[in-house]
Amino acid sequence: MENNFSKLHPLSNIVFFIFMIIFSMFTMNPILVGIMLLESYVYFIYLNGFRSSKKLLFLVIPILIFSCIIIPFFSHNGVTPLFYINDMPFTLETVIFGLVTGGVLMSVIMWLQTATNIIDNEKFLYLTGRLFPTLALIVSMSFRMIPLFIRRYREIGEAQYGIGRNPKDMKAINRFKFTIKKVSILISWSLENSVNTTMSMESRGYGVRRRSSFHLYQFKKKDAIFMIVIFALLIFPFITLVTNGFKVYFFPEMDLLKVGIKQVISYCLIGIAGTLPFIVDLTGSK
Amino acid sequence: MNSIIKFEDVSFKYPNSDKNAMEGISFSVDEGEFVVVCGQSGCGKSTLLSHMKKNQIPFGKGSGDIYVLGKKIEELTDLENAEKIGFIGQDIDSETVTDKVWHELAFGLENLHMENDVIYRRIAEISEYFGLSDLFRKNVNELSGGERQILTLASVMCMHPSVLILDEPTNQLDPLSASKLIKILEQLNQEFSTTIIISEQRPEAVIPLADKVLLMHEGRVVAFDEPKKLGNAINEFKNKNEKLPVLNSFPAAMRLALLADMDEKRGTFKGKAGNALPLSVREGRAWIKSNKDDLGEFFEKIEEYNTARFDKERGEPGEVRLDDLDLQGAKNLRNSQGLQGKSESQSEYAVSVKELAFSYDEKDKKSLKWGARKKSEKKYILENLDLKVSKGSFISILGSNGSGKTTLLKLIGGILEADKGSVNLSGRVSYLTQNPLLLFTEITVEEELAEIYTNYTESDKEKKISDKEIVENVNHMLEKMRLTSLRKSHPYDLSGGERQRLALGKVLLTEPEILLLDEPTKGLDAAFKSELAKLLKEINEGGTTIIMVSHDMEFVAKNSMECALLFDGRTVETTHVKEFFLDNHFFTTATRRLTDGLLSGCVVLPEM
Repeated sequence: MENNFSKLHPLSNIVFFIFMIIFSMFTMNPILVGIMLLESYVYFIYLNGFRSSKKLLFLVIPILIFSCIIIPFFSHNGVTPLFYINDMPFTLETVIFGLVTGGVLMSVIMWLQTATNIIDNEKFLYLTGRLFPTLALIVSMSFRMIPLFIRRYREIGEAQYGIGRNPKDMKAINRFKFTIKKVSILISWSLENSVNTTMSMESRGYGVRRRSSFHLYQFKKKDAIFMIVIFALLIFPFITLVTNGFKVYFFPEMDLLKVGIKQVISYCLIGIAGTLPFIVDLTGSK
Repeated sequence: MNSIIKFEDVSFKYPNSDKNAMEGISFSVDEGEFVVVCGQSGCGKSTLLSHMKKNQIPFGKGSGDIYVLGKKIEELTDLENAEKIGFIGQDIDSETVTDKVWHELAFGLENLHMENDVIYRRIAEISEYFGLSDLFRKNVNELSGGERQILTLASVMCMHPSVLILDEPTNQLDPLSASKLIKILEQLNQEFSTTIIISEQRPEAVIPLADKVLLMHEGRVVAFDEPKKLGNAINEFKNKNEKLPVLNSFPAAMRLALLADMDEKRGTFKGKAGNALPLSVREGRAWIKSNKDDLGEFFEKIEEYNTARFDKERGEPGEVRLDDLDLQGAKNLRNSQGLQGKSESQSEYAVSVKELAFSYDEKDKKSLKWGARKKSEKKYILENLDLKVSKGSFISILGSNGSGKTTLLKLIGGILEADKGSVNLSGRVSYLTQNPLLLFTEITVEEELAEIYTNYTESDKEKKISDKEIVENVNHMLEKMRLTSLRKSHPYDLSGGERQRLALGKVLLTEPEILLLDEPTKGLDAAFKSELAKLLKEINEGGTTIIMVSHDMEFVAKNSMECALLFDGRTVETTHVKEFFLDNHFFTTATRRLTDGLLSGCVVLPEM
């Protein structure tokens, strides 16, 4: 999806998502989890449309069943029993703990999903290529190979159908043999081709000198501003996180609501930082 | 001398081969020349070209000296080799390395360790020049064959080579993309004085542009001269009574003049075409006009050849040669066979297609990612299509690129399912793909043919066939496809034409009553084409209905009985070949354009 945020430099994108995932993952503070859950969900819907959130239910429901219902049967920490099973308490604390864990999982999943919407293969390649140039080339070549192989495999299937071999008419074992045959055609055909590809690479000077790694991204002024803003916003919450300022206790007794001045400021700053992609999209050339 | 490439008595032998692939080759190419290397497949064109690029020189035993850019090729540094000599191989798919268009363009420059800004500037100007700017951020897989070939060319050109070597670049392209590519090459040659060396087995389109033509036969140079001066060398060579099949894919004007020259030996014409061959249709028409009086008898023969080919239902284009063309005999033949053909063709239909509609949209939708995507209107590639093919006929389906020709074949073959309408077949149908490699699994030719008898389905088991019969059938097919001497070779080691024959043989072993051929002449040379024509005729006479999709007008005009033009999702109408090619003005053979209004009823020229 094309929007102003995705047009920023990949470094800006990845810094944002790394921060968001850190604040979602490394704390069980229910207020923070709530903020992250809300913001990641809104951003997810913004990028993928409301209808696609239906698919999220398939993730949410099993996670919630597991963490809120199944785990409390086996974990008996906590001081507020709701009921007893075989003389073992089913406690409120574990249910709440499960709920928060589920929230953490969900927000991380949604941040990752939105990250793949924003950081496409190309950006990912660039980011890895900065570290490992050869790996980046191999990945780029595989991105070319995979669709090529799929196309070739389909063509092979069509050619074989053309001489009267329809997998639908075959019994399971024959169909399996037939698939093996098609794969073997694909492999010999592609090996034949890869020799030529090597030649073509060599002809264009592969191996003559150390390769440079070309990319189309420019680190512009708005990227610089974005970076300054996001670091300015999050440096204080980050220190709070590292110094265990968000620490909460579920067991044995719950102590969940941390609302000191330090924390409230952090919640606000994180909340603002989470809306940065919207701000970038709306302001455009910021 | 500022020759950019110079060969001095170069010979080369591949290991395991007892014949030299190149023998005593000497020539030199000056800067800015456009040289066409032509010859039939296996004549050593590719071997010759690969000797011009250091890293491409094949393994084997060579002798003689090669100078590139004024240096011996062995002394060329890797950097000069990479930068100054652009080489583009035959296979489009394997020429591209990376996944994105921009990355492909940058690949060579990255290898030379250039800075980001320099690369950006270079690929920006190159993509503007080649018209790739709209495709810049696309995936390589989304491009058409023609676009991919232009991308390959552009990514070599952005390294600023002084010589550009192309090995049969138009082999896998349709005529439209091919002429686009050739136009770009001409432009590069004119505007940048880039030396271009291009090999072609069907040099029709490039010869009129060439400064020099290097004509090869069995590893030797037959002629190296300006195209219009080739006549004498060719005549001399033919006088030694050797065949030179590549001539049959020369431009129509040249062929007509050469035919006239050959006719001269029999004393009817004192030729003057030897040193001033007409190259283009324009020159050819002028040539016909100025020679109309001298060559009256020859032109009459050409006209008669066409009448003989088209008025019989089953023409014998491969057999009727100019030399043994007895006018009276042809007329008799025509009368007797014409009547016979009529009564046969009135029988029932082998294939009848009714109101067929097909769209790829639905099928693509399944593979789309979930998420918001606009519903677009269904785009039909075929709509309301009707086609009737009588039993035993040989019909060609023509049409421009992307008009759905291959789709139609796949629908008839049952590989794709139609959205609407019906396809009725009267018998077993088999489909031969464009790429014969898709069928090959075994390690020898004979095993490859026998592989067809592997039982996969229940119905296969019912008609069980004994081992002895299999051996018999395979031997028979080897004979028929003229592959007996190659029975122990690996299918991948065969040449293009031989592969095509093997694939055809394999398909024929399924004993189809309806045979569907998808571009059977793609990438084949003139010699194999006439062989294929003979094979198809045999098959057709055996009662098999043939439906062929092709871009090759000449081949269609020479061989099929009927033509259907596919346009706007439907077939315009099925017409007899002769009417089709005579009535059409743009969508017809070069011979027709050459002779329109000058000679009556000419669509094809006899073979040389």
